[in-house]
Amino acid sequence: MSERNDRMEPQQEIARLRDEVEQLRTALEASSDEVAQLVEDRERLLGRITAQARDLQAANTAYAQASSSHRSDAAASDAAASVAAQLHSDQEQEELRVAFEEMQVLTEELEVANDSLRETNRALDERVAERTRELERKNAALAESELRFRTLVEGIPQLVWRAIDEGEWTWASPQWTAFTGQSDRNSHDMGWLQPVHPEDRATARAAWARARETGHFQTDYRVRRAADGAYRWFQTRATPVHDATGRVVEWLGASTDVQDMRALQDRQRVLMHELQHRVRNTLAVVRSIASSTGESSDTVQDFAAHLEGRLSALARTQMVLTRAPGAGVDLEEMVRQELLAQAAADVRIDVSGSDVRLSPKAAEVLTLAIHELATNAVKYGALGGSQGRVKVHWSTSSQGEETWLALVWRESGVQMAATAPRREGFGTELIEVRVPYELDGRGELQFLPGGVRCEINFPLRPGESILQTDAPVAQEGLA
Amino acid sequence: MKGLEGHCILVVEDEFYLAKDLQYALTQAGATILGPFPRREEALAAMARSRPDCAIIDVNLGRGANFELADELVRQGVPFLFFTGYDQAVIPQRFSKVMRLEKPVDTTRLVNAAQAACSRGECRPI
Repeated sequence: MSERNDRMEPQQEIARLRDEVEQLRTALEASSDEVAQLVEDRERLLGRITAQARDLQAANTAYAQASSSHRSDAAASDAAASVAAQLHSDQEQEELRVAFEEMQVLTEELEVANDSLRETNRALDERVAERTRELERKNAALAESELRFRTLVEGIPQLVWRAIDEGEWTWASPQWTAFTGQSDRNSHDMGWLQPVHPEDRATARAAWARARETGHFQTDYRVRRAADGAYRWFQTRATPVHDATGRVVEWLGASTDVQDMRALQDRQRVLMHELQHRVRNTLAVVRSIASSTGESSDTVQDFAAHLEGRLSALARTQMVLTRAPGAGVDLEEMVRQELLAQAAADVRIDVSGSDVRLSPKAAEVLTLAIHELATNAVKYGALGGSQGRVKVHWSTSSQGEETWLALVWRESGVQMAATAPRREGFGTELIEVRVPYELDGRGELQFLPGGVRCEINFPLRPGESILQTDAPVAQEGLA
Repeated sequence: MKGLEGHCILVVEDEFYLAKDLQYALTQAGATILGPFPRREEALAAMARSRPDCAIIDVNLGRGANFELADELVRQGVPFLFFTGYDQAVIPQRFSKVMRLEKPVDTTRLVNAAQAACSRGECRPI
């Protein structure tokens, strides 16, 4: 909320500056009044001086007349009148002198007052100019700050708004209008509820009721996008703006589109459950393979070697599947890898077939089948003696609407008597029972003179792993 | 371990080794098994011929969690329990009362759960 403080400060500052200028103006006016008073005093004094000067003039004239008549008539009574007039004139002159002196003092005072007033005026002008410049600077800063704020508010991807009381909007950002198609004016009061999903309106209202008590507004609701009519989830938060007394003046809110995030969270939840399922399933399978291996092993060493080999084959499949999820497993690569794992020399094996990619399930079963055949060949068959050879060939064919894979493993040049059928083992069960059960196909393992012959047929069905990122989510329990 | 004599139990589980283990444990306890079946269609086809006393079904038959078979069992009034590696969160609310056996399961828990779910009976033709 520091942006708000930045905005409030210059405003307060400007108000303060305005007050100050007002005070200066009042002071200036008071000074002007004082000067006017002085001017008035001087006017009055001038009036008095003028009147006295007139009186003096009159007295002088009278005196002059009296003097001339005295010369012509030389009357004693005239002399007395002349003395009286002289006396009167002296008195008048004295008064005039006093008045002049008074006026001189007043004039001096007026000059001092005028000087002081001029000085005050100059200082006042200077300060007003300075304050005006300051005010202009602050105004410019405020305008810039407001522009920045506006750019920020209107530039962020959130839908920003202002509200009062319990969610009555007073302003909606252009983003809100762009997203919902609702004008700022129509969003006012509770108008903003209109684009909110009808099922989420009660939630939104309840959140406002809570916000009053908690002083914080946060909730998720869906908002209709005008462009395509789709409702998208938004997380909405608002913070109250307090005045100096702590009263909530308004709320500033922002709604963030969290639709994609929610979808990803759902997806993540599905993947987590799927992973959990896979891990538990795999553990159960490992347990079962261990117990089957135990049943068909004569010694502990035998058991350990077989179990290790089977778990390694299982691990190789998982590695291939997780390295390139969705890509499937290349059949030829897989067969070669399993033979390589048995250190079979290239010259004695012949691997060929069309380009086939296996689904995770088919890859898992077939990898283990090839592993069993290769292990058996090394121990008892074509890869054990010096003359034997192994040919692995496959092809695909259409059967109805499905493509079937036919894979044949054929050993030759085996001299050993060990080609006689042995007791039902892990490999036999895998090929003859598990292939039909899990792959809906057929599997046959024969111990013939000259070596083993195995044929596996099953339909190639797309069985994408749900763990791959683009696999459809068919998890109704998570809806 | 005994305790399931005379019960017919439908087993639907797509993992061969797990199906085999279930079959073995339940048969040892005296039950008759309908199945095991790796796919829903095969289970439904078998149910058209025989009615089990209860069913143990995997939630994921190869294509993610799926509850169509569970819904069908509810429709037919066959008690069942889930055999799954999934958490309870994946199970829809409507099956909240259905018992969930978590993989891997030990024999005692399996047999006790099957006993609780089953009513007495044989795999009989409809």
